[in-house]
Amino acid sequence: MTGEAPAWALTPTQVAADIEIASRQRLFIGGRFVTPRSRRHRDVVAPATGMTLTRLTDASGADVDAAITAATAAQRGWTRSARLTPLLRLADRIERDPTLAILATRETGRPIRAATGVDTPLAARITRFNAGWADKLSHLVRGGNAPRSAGVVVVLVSGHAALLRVLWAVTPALAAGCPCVVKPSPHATLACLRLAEIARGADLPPGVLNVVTGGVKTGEALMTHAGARLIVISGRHATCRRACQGAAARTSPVVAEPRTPLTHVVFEDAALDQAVEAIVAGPEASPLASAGLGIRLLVQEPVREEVTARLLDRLRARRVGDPLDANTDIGPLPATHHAVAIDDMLESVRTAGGVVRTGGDPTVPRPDGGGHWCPPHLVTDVPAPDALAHAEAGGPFWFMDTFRTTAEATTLAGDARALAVWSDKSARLFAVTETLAATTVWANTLPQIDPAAAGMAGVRRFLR
Amino acid sequence: MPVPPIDAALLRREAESYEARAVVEPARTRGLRLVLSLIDLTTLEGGDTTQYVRALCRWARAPGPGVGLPPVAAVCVYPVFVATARAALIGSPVRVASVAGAFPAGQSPIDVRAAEVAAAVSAGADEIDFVINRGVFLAGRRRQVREEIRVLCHAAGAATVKVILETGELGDADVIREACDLVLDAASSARGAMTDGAVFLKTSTGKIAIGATMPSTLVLIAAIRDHVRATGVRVGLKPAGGIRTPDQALAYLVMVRETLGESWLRPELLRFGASSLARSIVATITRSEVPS
Repeated sequence: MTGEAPAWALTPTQVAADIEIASRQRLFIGGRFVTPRSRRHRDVVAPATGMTLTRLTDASGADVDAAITAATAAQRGWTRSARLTPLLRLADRIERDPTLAILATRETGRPIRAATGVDTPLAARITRFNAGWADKLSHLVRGGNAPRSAGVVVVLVSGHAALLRVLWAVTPALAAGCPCVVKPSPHATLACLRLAEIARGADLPPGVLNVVTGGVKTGEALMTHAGARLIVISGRHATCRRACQGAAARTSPVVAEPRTPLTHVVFEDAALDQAVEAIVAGPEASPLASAGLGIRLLVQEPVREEVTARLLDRLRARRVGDPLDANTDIGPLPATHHAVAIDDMLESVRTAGGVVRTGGDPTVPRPDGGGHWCPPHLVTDVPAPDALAHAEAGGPFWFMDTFRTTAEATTLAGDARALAVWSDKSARLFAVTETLAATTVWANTLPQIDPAAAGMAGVRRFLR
Repeated sequence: MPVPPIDAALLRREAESYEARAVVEPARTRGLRLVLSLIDLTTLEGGDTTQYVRALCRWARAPGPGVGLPPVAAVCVYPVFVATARAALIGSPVRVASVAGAFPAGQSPIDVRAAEVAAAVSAGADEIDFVINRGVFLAGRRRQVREEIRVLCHAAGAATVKVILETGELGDADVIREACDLVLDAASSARGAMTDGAVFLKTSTGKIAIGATMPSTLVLIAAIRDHVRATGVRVGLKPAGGIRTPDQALAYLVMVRETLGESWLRPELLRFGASSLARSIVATITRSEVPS
């Protein structure tokens, strides 16, 4: 490298994001924002600045009861003929609403470029696809008898890609005729509260969609409420398992959608440059598949050096910085406890002899203040099974292990639920996909979750 | 190791991610000044005259007089105008580039092509832009293409060579990549110990409908990067044909910076082949710098 290279770097930008955020958030119950009964609340800290953004209520048993009561009352009026139009209208409103992206960016640190370019269009697509079930339900069952809805649904969603996960559960439920009570993670509520407001504007009847806020206790109150007919929980593997174990003590069934790390299997004959590009763009471009966790890579031995070099090249160009900058690829870590989990994980990786290399464009300034910034890391020489556990710590981490044969690849990737395979040979793609237990497999493409791919499975669970 | 295949759909997606970058002031003006200093100001018309070439060279030395803009990197002309350009550019850092070797098709006997290259060099050209013979390449006669490149590189002597692939005629990304590797291989063997920036890969002649595109340029970039990794020698890049607007050029600048790196952002390793781009950049910069 010569020192005389002309310096040229992008100038920081800032997307206009001055939207008013109330200092105290209320609950959305029965079609309006209500003052909570609970006196307990917590601060929401903006990850980019470390400053308090707003305050949330920790909804109490009484608040939860009010929400479930409102939902139960709305059931009767939420008839099949009443559902389609407001749900389609909701999709249109989501598509045109810039504040959903801005709120997610300010509250969770999701880069605005991804929030606007990926999340909002996908949110609209999920809503529109599921809205379409509303007038087609009788075609879902043999015999033509219209199925009945399951009743009030409680939706609990963790912080990463919260809005998308909420819509993923809520829109098929609403189309099936189930009123919903949603409790997003306390780290990602603002976009969901805004969603409720948009739903009201789209003429969803009062009580059909309710949003309460709070932490674990509020979640427990919702899950144990007698009025909850079905519980959908979308979060980390451990959280889902806990919820399912507790389900034995309750009457209502639990649908768990665990967030698991994405695994890429790269064969030597793959289009390496494009595979690397998709692997690196993952967290930004495919929020649902990458799940806000670290990404695991299984690379065939002969291309190990190639892939490592290419990955490092691309990771070095990633821009870590202000999430409101239109050019930012990687924002701050979402919450303080993630930083601790990541330190612990790195510690155990290094103890086990793993090699850690960092990327990130050094010319990109980081905002001052209390944000936690983490450049992208490539971790090599960690055994694949360990990588799965390490990836649970979250953050911009890529864990690489190698394999020699197709059989080795399938063994190592065997426990992966979300899997992307890269090979130019279709025989290899089929061999891997047929032997795995993965629920979703992508072949030679960006791992994007498409509502249409979920098909009827999404709506069926909300019918009796 | 054989070259991995290229996925065209994902290639387009990658190109779009560079296009989507927001280039705001002051990076925008700085970037445009940089692009200006990287332009091979080109005129390759049947109606070119010595008067016109002289006027172009005057402009190339000091684009948009009075606003302190840098000169362009080179003026690119047909061989008959090399002497004119050489004389008009004496005392300036602007280099003289010439297309030669039966531009733009390359469909002439190889000794005729080589003679034209040698003539352009002896008339004073610092740089030679020559095409590969696509007819021969697409017919699968790789050895002949390699040999022709070797002969033309020899004929160019010490001049910088920019090898034009005409990506728009090659079609598939995989075919473009194969041509890149063939050119780099042939040029390396012809030039012995190759130095940084002695050879450029150039996308297009500008004479057919499809000129440079971001995805096809990405294929050249990948070939250059892999060559550097294997040999340590840095090869230049010249997207040409169809880059007309300042915003298009900035997107290329972003792409090169994020792929090959910042050290490529200098005339020794990056050029833009363009005829109207320079003037629209000057117009844009002068407009934004006019005091209000």
